[in-house]
Amino acid sequence: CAGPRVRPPPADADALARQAARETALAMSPGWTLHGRLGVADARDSGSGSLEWRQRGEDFRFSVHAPVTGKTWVLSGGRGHAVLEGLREHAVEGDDATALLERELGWKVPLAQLPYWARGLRTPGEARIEFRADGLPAQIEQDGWKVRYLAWDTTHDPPLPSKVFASRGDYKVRLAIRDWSLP
Amino acid sequence: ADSARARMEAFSRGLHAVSGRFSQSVTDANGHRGDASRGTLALEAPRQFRWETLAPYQQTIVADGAKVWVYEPDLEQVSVRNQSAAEAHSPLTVLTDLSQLDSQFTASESGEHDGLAWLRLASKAKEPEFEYAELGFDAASLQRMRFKDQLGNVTEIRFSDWKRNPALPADAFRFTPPEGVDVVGDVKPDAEVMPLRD
Repeated sequence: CAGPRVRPPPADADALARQAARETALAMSPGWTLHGRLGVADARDSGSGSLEWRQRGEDFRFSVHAPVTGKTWVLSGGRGHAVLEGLREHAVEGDDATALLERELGWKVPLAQLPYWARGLRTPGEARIEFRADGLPAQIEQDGWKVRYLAWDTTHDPPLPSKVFASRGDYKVRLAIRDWSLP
Repeated sequence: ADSARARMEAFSRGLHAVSGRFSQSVTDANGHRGDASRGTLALEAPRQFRWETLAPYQQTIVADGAKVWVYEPDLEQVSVRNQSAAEAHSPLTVLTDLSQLDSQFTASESGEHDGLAWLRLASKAKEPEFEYAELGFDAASLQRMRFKDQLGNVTEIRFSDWKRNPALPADAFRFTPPEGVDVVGDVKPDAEVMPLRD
């Protein structure tokens, strides 16, 4: 709904300004690593695993270790190129990480937006955002996804999320982040 | 010293159920040690196990003979899957019923190191989950398990405090999803469930 942007009430204006400042500050450190738990689900199936996610600008390495089978799969790549290893005998490639993961594992994970959302940031473009009392985002809605921030790690400056639940219809992507490291 | 096979048979003789503690670590192909975790486990032949990870995160895996439940409290999510034969080749189920070892694996002695006698298991499955699994025994019991996946990641699990045929609570291998968490997967009962008591 690209209606006119309703002017946010003053309180929101302050929060929006702080959010913009957070987004600028975090844009300055495009390299980071997180460790935590990843959960994905659709209407019929769900899975989880321990996640190590290294991001350097547009280059990423997303490594998931599954519980029961003990298997690990690694999705890595950058702009216009992605490689998925560990699922089959040999690596599988594609030019879009989200499409590759969906084709190979059946999971719809918005990997283009997730580097922003995982850090509590909006991707460029249309977004609806709601704030908590302390001015940190409570929810961001973009591209049909609703991204809820259930917990924040305020030991970081600026703070970074520690529990992010994203959903779009039956699709769910959940991150419980144990630690962030920004070199 | 007697063979790993002899030690394995001594450990599993008369063993109907067992409980203990584990600590697990994963080392990737270039030696980078990652994902360490620890917790408790309980196993009961032929196919029931409970694997509780306590740190650095919490996770509960319960195989009740018909389904495998994976509960992730941090994610407020329960994944549930029919405990089909496919699960039979995962490392966890190897332990559950060591007497079934030879039906699923080709076992061979792989010598002594780290003070243990090792038995190497090659899965007989068409598409094995892992390149190999190894069980390390001391004179009294299974001490360690290692398995290597196609990416060259080696998972090593160390066991301790084994209790043989412990008195387990009635619901030791039952799982009831807590209120308010998402339960997704093979939620309906599995049509062709393999009977527990053959």
